[in-house]
Amino acid sequence: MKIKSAIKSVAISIPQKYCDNNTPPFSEIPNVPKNWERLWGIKGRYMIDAALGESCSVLAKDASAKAIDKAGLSVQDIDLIIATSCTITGWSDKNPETIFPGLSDYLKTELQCNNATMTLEVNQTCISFMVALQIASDYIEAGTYKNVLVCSSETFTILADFQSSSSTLFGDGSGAVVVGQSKNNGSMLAAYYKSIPMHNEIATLQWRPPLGNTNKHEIRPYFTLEENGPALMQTFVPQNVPMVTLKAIEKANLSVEDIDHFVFHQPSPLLLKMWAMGIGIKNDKYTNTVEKYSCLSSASTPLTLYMALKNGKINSNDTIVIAGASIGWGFGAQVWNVENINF
Amino acid sequence: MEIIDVICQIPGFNIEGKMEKMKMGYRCNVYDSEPDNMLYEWVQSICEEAIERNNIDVSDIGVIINSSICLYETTARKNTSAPGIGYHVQKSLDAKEAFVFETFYTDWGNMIQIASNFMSKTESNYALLLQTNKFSNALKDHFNGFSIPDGISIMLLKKSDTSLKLKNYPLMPFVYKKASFEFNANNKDLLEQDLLFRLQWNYDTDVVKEINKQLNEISNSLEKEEIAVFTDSWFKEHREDNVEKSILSNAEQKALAMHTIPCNIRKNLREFKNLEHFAMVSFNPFSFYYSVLKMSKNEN
Repeated sequence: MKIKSAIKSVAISIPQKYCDNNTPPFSEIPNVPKNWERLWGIKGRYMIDAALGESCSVLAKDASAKAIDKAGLSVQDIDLIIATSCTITGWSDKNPETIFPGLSDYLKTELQCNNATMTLEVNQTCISFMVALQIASDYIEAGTYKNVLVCSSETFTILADFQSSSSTLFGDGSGAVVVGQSKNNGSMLAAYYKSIPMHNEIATLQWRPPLGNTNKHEIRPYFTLEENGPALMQTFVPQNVPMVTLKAIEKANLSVEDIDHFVFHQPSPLLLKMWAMGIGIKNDKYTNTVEKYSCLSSASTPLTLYMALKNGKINSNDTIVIAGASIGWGFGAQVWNVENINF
Repeated sequence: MEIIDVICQIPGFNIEGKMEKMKMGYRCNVYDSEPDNMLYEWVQSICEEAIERNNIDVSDIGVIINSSICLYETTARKNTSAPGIGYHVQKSLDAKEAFVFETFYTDWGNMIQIASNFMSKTESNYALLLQTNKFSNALKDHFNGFSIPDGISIMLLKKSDTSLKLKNYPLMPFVYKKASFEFNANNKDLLEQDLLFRLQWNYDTDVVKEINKQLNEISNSLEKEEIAVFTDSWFKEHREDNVEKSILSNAEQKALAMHTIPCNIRKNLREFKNLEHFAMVSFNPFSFYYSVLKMSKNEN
């Protein structure tokens, strides 16, 4: 009998400190265009505080432990950990200079998983979580693994150049799911992906000093949005998420009306509206977390899944779509039959 | 999926047999590649060569997966770590149907398995797998006992009825002395010289023994099955009493890290294409495991 995969649980971990746009360091960013907040629609974000012991890895460990527990499993049951993070360095509370081994190896050690637990780092920036879900689902369907932990953790505020307006777009947080074998009718029904690299350099992670500074010893990895980036994004990002979503729904032999809820990656409320319009759905069919939490890159999707479940927007036996876009640029959509996601 | 072509380039290393700049892995302190040849340009030319040589319709490439350790020079901006270099490859090839993603510091066995799983749900026929690393412009550590050569290896895979069997063998925790790739965040002098990164792997003789012991067990088991074996070599003492028990006539003897297997396949490409069964034994010093991927033609 063919094995199907199901999302068993989801959990999140969010820092304690909340910063709206009037709170330092966000209130001190120079030359923020007047229409910036209206354009992007982000009202604030949670931000880690190292003094409170918060870090990308600590958030990841917390979300992962909760997801495993909610799935009714122990850490010994996890066969594979897939981690995603754009926080290339400064992510680890054990060694702030570590790049690799990455978060998946950290979680294996810190959660005290079995030695046989495998680890994998996946990157497709903002839709890394989706790609990790796809790999997890594929492995489960192939019978290679039974229980896969997927954890996306981001602390973008340490990648933020507070001399640039783009630093207002992101925040910190972590989300994790456990994917396992379906017991009832849970499954990934279809998926569709597309990469469009034409403008692969308008949003990048660059090793450089902060803007206005030439001291090489201050080089850090900074998220960098080119000046014409937002305008160029408008020429292809709004239409391609609807395109991949409709393709995935079609591959699943369903129609838009069959989808109970849409879980989008969360770059801005405006893009969410444009994606919804392109698909032909009203705003009660999708969950907006970006206004309050900002964009959490790859962690936005599990956060939004969690919030949709918490707010009763997704229930057992629903059919949902998970979709989004990433810099570079990648677009993806998955159609899932939800079995029972504990949260 | 089956491997239809492999290209491996290590600067200074001539695939026909002459090695110049590159020394053997352990205690290698030479990383030189051409400083003006950026990684994104380098990988672009190799991928174009592979596509042209095999007369592939680029619209039939379904996925491009890259695995890197040194995340640098991933775009024409040069100082970037993201987006990944796969996008640059996709753009240069104009491979419109390809989906691009990255799996960091991943071995060949797991990369091929992931690509195969992904491709089974697409209508496309080809997958392009890349292992790309160029350390020399951002890492020059003469005091470290570990190095990975600047190099690019690619494997071009085609959908087929070749069967894949993957098994991973994590090493025991008591030998955990994993390799690491780190940022020189607190070393102003190195940052002033644009030397952003360092590689570390403080392994000792006990670790080497354990790594080789596990490899011998894997190799002996595969030898009983009488199949050709392609094995990674990450340092001089790796597989020292185990040099290619395979049927290959022209086995690579050097420690070329993740490039060892593709270099070996490339050197023996004609023989390789006639193999009905073979196994790839890859080592991952960052996660500390071996993977064994068996590929068999026409097997149910």
